Amino acid sequence: MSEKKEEQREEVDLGDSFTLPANQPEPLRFVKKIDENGVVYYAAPFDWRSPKPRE
Amino acid sequence: MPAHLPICWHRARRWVRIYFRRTDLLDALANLCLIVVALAGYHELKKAAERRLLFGGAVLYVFFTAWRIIRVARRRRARDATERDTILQLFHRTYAEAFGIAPDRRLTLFVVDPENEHELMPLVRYELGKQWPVAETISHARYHRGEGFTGRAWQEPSNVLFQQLPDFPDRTAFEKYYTNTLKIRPDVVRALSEYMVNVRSIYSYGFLDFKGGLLGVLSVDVKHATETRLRDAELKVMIEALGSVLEAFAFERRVQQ
Repeated sequence: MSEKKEEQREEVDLGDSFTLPANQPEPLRFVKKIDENGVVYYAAPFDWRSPKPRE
Repeated sequence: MPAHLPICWHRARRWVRIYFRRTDLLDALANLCLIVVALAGYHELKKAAERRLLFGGAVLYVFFTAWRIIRVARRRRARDATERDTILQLFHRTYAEAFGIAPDRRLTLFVVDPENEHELMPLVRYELGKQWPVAETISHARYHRGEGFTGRAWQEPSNVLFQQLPDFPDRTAFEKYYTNTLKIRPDVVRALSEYMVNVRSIYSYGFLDFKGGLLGVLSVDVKHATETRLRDAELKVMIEALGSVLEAFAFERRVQQ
């Protein structure tokens, strides 16, 4: 028990540049499309539930 | 819809279509049966006082049942107003966060028309300093699935769609482009506001619930006076926040039904 407590007290330096991967801003990846009328538009898959774009 | 009928009739019809459910009708029918059963013994009663009591009770029963149904409908209406207000508050906050005091952007949320499940209608609309909590009454823009940018977002949900538009010298050129090139129905194009003539880019996004049903379509119209591209982070924050609100209200609506 005392060893565990010692471990918990140990300080860890994460460094200034540390960021969680989930917090890194992912850009929208737009793909050029052309519809049946010949109109050009762009579409980027994005699920509103997740901050990451879908694969 | 017949145009010769008075506007109050249309409003009443719409009110009934939106705020009454089939279960209300079943409730009313069940109560009606109960009254019929009770009144069946009316002539069996020998005393006039007993007859009056039965008849009076039946009248009061009908009155209270109707009162209850109307109160339930009004509660649904209040809930609908809360939903619209919440979305507008969200638009106000996210607009301020994303665009500051930059004008020339307009946010509209479209939903499936409760009177016509094949069309999207505007629910709420927000501009800097202006808001329309009942947008369907000021805008007659209705889109089928796949029609125009909004209809395309319905067809391709869970995609941020971006569309650039050319400069239109006048309203005629605008209507010609929307009708001939984008293939939007002429009556819909004629109903579009003057604001749209100066719009140079449109972002659209179709929200899906966990079952794959459409929650709504967000349309961000950007006028020519500003940058036509928005930053990804701003859009994503707006979409994520709005999606959560839409799903929460949709879930509550399902539970009520």
